[in-house]
Amino acid sequence: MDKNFIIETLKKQLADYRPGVETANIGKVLRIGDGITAISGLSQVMASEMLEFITSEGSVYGVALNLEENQVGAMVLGDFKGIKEGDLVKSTGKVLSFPVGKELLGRVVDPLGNPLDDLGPLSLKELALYPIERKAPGVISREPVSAPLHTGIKAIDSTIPIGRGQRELIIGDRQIGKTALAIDIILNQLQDTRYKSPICIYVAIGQKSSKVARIVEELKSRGAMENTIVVLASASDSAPLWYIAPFAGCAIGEYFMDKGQDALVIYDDLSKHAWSYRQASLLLRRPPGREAYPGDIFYLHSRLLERAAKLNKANGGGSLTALPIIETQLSDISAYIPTNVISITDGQIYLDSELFYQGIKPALSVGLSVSRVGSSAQTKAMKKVASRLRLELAQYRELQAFVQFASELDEATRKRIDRGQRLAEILKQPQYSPIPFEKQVCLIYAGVNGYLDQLPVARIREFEEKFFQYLNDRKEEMLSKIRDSGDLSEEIKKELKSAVEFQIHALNERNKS
Amino acid sequence: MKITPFQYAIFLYQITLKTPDVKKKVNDFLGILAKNNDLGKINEIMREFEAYEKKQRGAEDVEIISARPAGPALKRQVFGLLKDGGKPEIKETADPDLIGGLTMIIGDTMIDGSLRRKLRELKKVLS
Repeated sequence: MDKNFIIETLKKQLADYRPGVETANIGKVLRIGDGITAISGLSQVMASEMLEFITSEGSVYGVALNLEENQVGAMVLGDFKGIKEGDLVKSTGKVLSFPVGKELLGRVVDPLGNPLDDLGPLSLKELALYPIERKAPGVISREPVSAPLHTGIKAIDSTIPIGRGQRELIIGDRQIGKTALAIDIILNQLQDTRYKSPICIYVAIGQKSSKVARIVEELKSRGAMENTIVVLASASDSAPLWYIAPFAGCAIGEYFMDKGQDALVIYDDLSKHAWSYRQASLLLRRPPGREAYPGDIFYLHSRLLERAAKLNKANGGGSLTALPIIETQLSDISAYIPTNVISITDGQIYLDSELFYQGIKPALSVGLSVSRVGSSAQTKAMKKVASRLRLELAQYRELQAFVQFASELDEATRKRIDRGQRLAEILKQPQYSPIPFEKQVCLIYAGVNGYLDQLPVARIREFEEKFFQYLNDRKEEMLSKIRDSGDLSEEIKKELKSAVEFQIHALNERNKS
Repeated sequence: MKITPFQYAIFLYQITLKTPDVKKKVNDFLGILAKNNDLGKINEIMREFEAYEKKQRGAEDVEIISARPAGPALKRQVFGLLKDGGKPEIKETADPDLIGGLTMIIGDTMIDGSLRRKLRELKKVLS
């Protein structure tokens, strides 16, 4: 290589290098334990400013939380075992930020932006730094939710539709399919071709690493990982890392929203996040309130979820949809954190353990679940079939207690129960099999119009399989018409009707022979 | 009400300020600490007291850290720089990790002019 070339490149690189004298506000560690420190000095430090702990084993970063008369309370992000009493602490004048960019797609990172997978280091030059705590977009820059975010789950897309920019809570007991639901939603995003697929961000807070590894494997094998970013604060990480993980995930989402893209962020789960904040707050000696949570626990979640938004055209038109997850204890949704987050979000998807044990999966309770803004984003086609579905299901629920005396009931009531049973049956869905919304529309159309009443409940599943197969093979054109127009015109309805009738007929014939 | 070490330190400073019998006052003070069950805070109180007393005198802690023990010429130069700013209480330490240059800590401000920091910055620019 040419020697002059090397010199020229070096010169170019060193153009911005101006070594000077650096002045910093410093302090000394007074006490440290459980990731929380008390620091003396630091008279100029600001709240939530990033601090640098200079230890004998290199630098560790932290955040100033409590500014008291003579000391500063801070949490340490990362390994705090190397920090000793008397160690120097430098204020940095910056708020904690997270490196964000396209390069993160397909990666698993920790809440500080360090990669946890084996795909090599992230090149920081390609990444922008986004502050972890940022003010949510204001009223002027927002617009109402207008585009649907199809989840691929029949029960959700029909009865509790989610729009882009919405915040929808997923709530339920442990081991009931909350995470499974979230993963299915991520898997569906590549199928939905009418709108641009959103970037999915899965934030695992205090989750087992083995569970996250399994999820990543699943996403990879189904090709969804290239559209997904996983932020992991595992069960063995310290509470401060759990605490910042959702904010880091939100910062990634905001980056894509600012670029005019759609993003979907899943916080799994916010009850663990509340625990970590409770731990840090109690160690900082903040006064405990209800259930020993600090007084600002509501604000903690509301400021996080408020950052989900649909921006208007002038601001790029991007959106950030948030799906927080809350784990309840013994189905108690009136505990402190569940009620808080229910009131913050635009609706909730309630997973009922009783339904789960009856074998209804997803165990979604249509009665207790709501979506407060999503219906305005629902496609016309779905609206046409789903409004009747909701009504029929509600009537069925009222009559459910009488199911065992079905033979003694009058004709009309029995019919209503029959219809309800079949509709409940078509809303069942196995894991990892999201269904595109146009197919959902066709199936629900068959259900609410009574075509399935002629089939025994046990054969609904078989009908669904055959019907979808038939639609795929023969009616591709009709499907794409529904998909592209998002509407169910009279002409399509006629075609759909004949398709359903044909399929039912074929199934009955096969049964006879 | 809980009394913080800082409050104790101010209290101790005030009672010992203009008294001929410091020993008795300190004894009384320890009695109060014992009565309040706060003897465990004595180390923190002493640290706060030291800092508070210095502040009242208008003195400021200055620590000069250099790579090699500072020679007399350097010392004179630094003292000359500091003599206008109150009453500095200078402490010198040598830290070979600095490689070269000088780092000063005045109160809770650090002025880092060390070669180590400059090299680190250079590394950042080149990477």
